[in-house]
Amino acid sequence: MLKIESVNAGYREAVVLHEMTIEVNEGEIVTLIGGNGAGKSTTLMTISGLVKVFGGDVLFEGTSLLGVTPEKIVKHGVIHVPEGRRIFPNMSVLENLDMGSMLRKNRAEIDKDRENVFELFPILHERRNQVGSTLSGGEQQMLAIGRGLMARPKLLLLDEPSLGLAPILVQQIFSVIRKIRDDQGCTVFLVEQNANQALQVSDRGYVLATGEIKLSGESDILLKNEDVKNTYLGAS
Amino acid sequence: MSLEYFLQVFVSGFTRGSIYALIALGYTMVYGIIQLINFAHGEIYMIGAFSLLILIGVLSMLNLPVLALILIAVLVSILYSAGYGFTIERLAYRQIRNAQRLSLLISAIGMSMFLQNYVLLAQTSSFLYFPKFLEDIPLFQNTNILNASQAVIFSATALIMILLTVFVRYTRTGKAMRALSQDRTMAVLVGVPTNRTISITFIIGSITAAIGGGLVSAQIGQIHFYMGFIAGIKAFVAAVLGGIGNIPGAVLGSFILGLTESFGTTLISSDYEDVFAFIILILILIVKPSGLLGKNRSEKV
Ligand SMILES: Nc1ncnc2c1ncn2[C@@H]1O[C@H](COP(=O)(O)OP(=O)(O)O)[C@@H](O)[C@H]1O
Ligand SMILES: [Mg+2]
Repeated sequence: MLKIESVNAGYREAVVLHEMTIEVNEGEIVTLIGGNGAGKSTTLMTISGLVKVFGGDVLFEGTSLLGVTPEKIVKHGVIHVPEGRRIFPNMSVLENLDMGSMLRKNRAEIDKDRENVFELFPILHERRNQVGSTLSGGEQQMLAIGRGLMARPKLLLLDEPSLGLAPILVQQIFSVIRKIRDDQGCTVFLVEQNANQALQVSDRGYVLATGEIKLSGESDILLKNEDVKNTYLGAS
Repeated sequence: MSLEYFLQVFVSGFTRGSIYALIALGYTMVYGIIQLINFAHGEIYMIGAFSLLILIGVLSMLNLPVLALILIAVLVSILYSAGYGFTIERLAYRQIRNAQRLSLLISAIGMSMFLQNYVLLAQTSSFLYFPKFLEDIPLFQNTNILNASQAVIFSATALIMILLTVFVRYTRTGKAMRALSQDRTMAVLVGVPTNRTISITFIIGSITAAIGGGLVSAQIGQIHFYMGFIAGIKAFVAAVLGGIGNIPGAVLGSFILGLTESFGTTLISSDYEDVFAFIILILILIVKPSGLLGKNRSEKV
């Protein structure tokens, strides 16, 4: 479904990703793990068209996303839930969700998807008229994912959804990610520093360090890998 | 000061405020979306007035009924001015939108000077007579607290404010505008068409400024290529006073400035008419730089 082929990408000042190759198949949950500054967010921004690509290609369902505007990429069904939640601070929960479905026309389907988001995250229904900036960190993360789902994604890109959340919320978020894939058939490309739990919910994983893919494979195998254990899972 | 006189001064300040509000809206909406103080915005107000005068001249050769003539001229001049707003953004701002703020600001100042001098050369440096459609006929029998021209200006302004509020609150484009001003990157990630939304913002701001220009000219009966400069600066002060980027703030700031000028010129001296705006600007920058309704927004990373 998604193919990143020998991509070099980054910012005006520096190339951050070097010869990156990643593949995500339809229906999979794939995790990209890596430390702070490894280039995880840059990878997602490369897919969603926010970052300059110097070489290589990014293909979604066989068509190249290079040179395609971010809004067109959204229309293809590639939805990026960025790091830090980025809730519209002066919009209510309902308005934030509506922004997620802003390119869609079918009112009935939108209403149905909103109900579905409220089912996944009942707290959002309680807070539906509250302004975004007044939500707690956990609620904002739920809203960010809910807003992403309102676009009916084919491929959902999640950037560190567990960052800064209490352990019980982290559990909840990861189980929702699983549910989204299992119930809605949405493919997920997940980026995490919380390698242990991320690998537990995913099918396959890639390990990124200083902009290069160092390792890849089935999640269970990565979880047992000595290097991964020592570097990302904490010695245990 | 008698009550009647007080009310007269009050209403006249409110009228000024209405006009400032029509211009300030454009400043504040554009600032909200691309953090640019669009110095050329005052010129749109001036171009609105000039194009209206020219259109009236041309159309009056056609033997139309007066009301139809005015209506067509007003509509066309609004569209024409909106075209200028649209074009200014395309030519002078779009390419350098992501450059340093200073580059944008310099481009805006250049655009403003260009438009002023263009009208100066193409038209005239002297005052032009403008037909006074909005007569100062008192609306009430035995008092002249409120006259017809003021009533027209209030109603037009109120109508525009209501339409704009509904637009920004409920329409898809209005929501896109708010999303862009609250978090540009996130707006892009939900699929907001950035260029189109920014263009529409310039068009809307230009429409309200052109309406302001037409109303003022029809009330005072003369126009001048420099009129957009002073009015533009004052509307800018009003927008800063209310909290730049904030639509209700711009309206509030405009009315406060209008009333201050009206009472200031009456109570102190009309020589200082143009000074009050700068005093207000200095005070607000010292006391609350984010403006009356502005939030101290934490810098986004
Ligand atoms: N906007 C930017 N401009 C220049 N360099 C950046 C920018 N954003 C990130 N970087 C650099 O790119 C590298 C990777 O950053 P990032 O992708 O955010 O890492 P991660 O998400 O894995 O923590 C870092 O060295 C960072 O300093
Ligand atoms: Mg990151």
